Amino acid sequence: MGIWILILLKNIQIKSISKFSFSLSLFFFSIEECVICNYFVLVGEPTAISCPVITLPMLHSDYNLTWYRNGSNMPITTERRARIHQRKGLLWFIPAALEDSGLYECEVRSLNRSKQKIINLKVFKNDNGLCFNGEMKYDQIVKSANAGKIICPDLENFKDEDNINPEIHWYKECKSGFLEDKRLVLAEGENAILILNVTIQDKGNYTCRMVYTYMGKQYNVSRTMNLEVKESPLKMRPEFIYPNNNTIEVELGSHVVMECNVSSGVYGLLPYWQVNDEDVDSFDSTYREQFYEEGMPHGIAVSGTKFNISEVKLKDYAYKFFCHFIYDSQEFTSYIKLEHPVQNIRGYLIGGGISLIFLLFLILIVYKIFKIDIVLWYRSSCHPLLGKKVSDGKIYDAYVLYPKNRESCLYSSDIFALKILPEVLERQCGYNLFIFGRNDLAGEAVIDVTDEKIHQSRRVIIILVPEPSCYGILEDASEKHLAVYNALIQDGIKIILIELEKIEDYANMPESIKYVKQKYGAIRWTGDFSERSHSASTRFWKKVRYHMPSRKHGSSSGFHLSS
Amino acid sequence: MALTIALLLLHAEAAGSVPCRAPALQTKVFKYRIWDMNQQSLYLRDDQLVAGHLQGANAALEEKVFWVPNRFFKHELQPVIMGIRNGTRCLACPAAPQPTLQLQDADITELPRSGAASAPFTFFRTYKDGLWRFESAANPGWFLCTSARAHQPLGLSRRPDAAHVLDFYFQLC
Repeated sequence: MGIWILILLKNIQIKSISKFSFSLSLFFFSIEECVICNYFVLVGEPTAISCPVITLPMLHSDYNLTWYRNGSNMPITTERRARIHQRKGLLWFIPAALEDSGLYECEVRSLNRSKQKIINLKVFKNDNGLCFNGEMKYDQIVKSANAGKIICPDLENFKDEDNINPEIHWYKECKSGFLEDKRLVLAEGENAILILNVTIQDKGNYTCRMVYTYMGKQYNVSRTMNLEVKESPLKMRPEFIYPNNNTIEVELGSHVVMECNVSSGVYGLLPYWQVNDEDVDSFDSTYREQFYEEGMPHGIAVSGTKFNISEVKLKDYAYKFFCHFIYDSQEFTSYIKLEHPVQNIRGYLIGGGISLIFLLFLILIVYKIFKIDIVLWYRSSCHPLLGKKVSDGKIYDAYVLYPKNRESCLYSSDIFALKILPEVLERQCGYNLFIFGRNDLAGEAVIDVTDEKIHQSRRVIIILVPEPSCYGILEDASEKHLAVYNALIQDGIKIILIELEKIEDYANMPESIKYVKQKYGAIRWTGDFSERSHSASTRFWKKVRYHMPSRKHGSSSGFHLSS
Repeated sequence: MALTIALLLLHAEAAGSVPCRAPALQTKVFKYRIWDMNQQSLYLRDDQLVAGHLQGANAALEEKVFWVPNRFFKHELQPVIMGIRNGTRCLACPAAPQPTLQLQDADITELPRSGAASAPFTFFRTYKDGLWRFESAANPGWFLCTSARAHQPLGLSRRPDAAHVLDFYFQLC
């Protein structure tokens, strides 16, 4: 190119001022629109060079074309017998000699305009030991696993009158005989070899040679082609690499790159995305589909399309995204579907389950701790609403049994049984108690009274004191045995044990008491005999009330005793 | 002096030939080699694409083809817009009884957005046995072709015959 600029500048300088603008435009032309400037010929072979400007539309009318050796004002001869001559617009070298290498100028004149072009002829010798020169080769490309052609080019000017289709001899790496391969077919009219099923082994240097007869003398005209074989996968059908009709889990609002790609032996087989029967760009204007392609080894092309979902929206979960490509007039499709992440649902389920179990556990603990309060609150608030129950035929809510006080006993069970118990249960809570020693009438047989009253009672309250001397008395009491017997066996009456003081050892207690203690447990009196301990809302009394039957309004009032 | 003026003018012309582009290139422009089944490559001569065999160092004159899919037309037709010189000179084939091929200044990345106006620049592709054919979208039935004679302009033809080659190799560079 550098040479060209210099040459043309020289032309501009030698032209007159009036021709300056024309030369300048020619100068542009030469820079921008480079045409074939270099011509190659083997020494001893003929060549014909055409002027590169003759196809200009302005030259379709009459024109004169003249060739010059560069730097010479003398036109090259038109004498046909001369080794170098011009004929029908072509510059002939029959044959070319090494010293012919160099620049030549063709000038085209039509009416009042003219154009020049300079070409560069290079005359080569064969490379050592070869039938061609490596700098003169034509590159030709075929694809394996397909048919392909090797063309012997640029022979148009060497057809003479009696030899329209000159015989062409072919050589591969300068050796003949390779045409015995059945896959290779000579296409004479086309100056070509047709390879029916190209293999990698077909690559190499092919030389074609014809004989050109001019003025009774024969000259060789040869061309050498470097055949490159592009590997093409053997009958490989295009297939999706991704997606494979699969789903992907994406969070709402997350960023996703939707990619689809196809591997094939065909370049330019672009896949494309569609959703809801429209292009993804139409489905959402923020989706910008981009196509890409990459060449892989062994002639495999990976063609793809992708778009970004910058923020996954709910509508993206509603449709399948289809990726299509066209091959052999058929449409191939694969889809991808977005889904909400599964592990989160599982997480919610697990979390919810654990919370539920925890809640139940908490409720159980709360119930365990506040069971008594809850039951008492329920009785006080809800029981009246439930209406009156059918009478069970009992008169007393509890039959109270306590050890008669002795002097040796520290605990005043009399005070508890005769004063505190009635104060709380009868006066404050409205229960009706049968307290032996208070309600019994003098002269009645103890056993008869006990039997009868227990039958008429809903509970049996047994008050225990720790001193052996004290419960020793209890032991003897047939009243107690009978009470326990009646309560346990006959009527299934519930027994409430109240310890006035902690009893360490039940070993000396009667078996029946041991049994009751084991079955129902005991409530220990924690208060004293002060007024404060006489409140039904203390913990002790709440426990007692809990074990007491649900109080019946109305029926109890008749038996209410005022202190 | 003349060289300076020329270079300035050349620079101005080059800058003018590239229209404003969108900030982000949304469609990748593919750079391909195209050659016909008779091994003719394309080169530029007098602002025309010419098919011929390029010998030795002349192989450097080969024009690479830049192309984009044109999504205005149905995907099934595999529509493409092709250009040379980085996609600034696009192959155009306006509707005509005898359509001809031209090169027009255009930004290949912008053309697909011009809707129906992109038809003269659009070719529908079909593939068979390793070779592609390119049918003019504006001239149904007319295919891109080379002449069987060397160094003739790229043109359009209705059918392949002894004088016209319709099948091309079309491959990533």
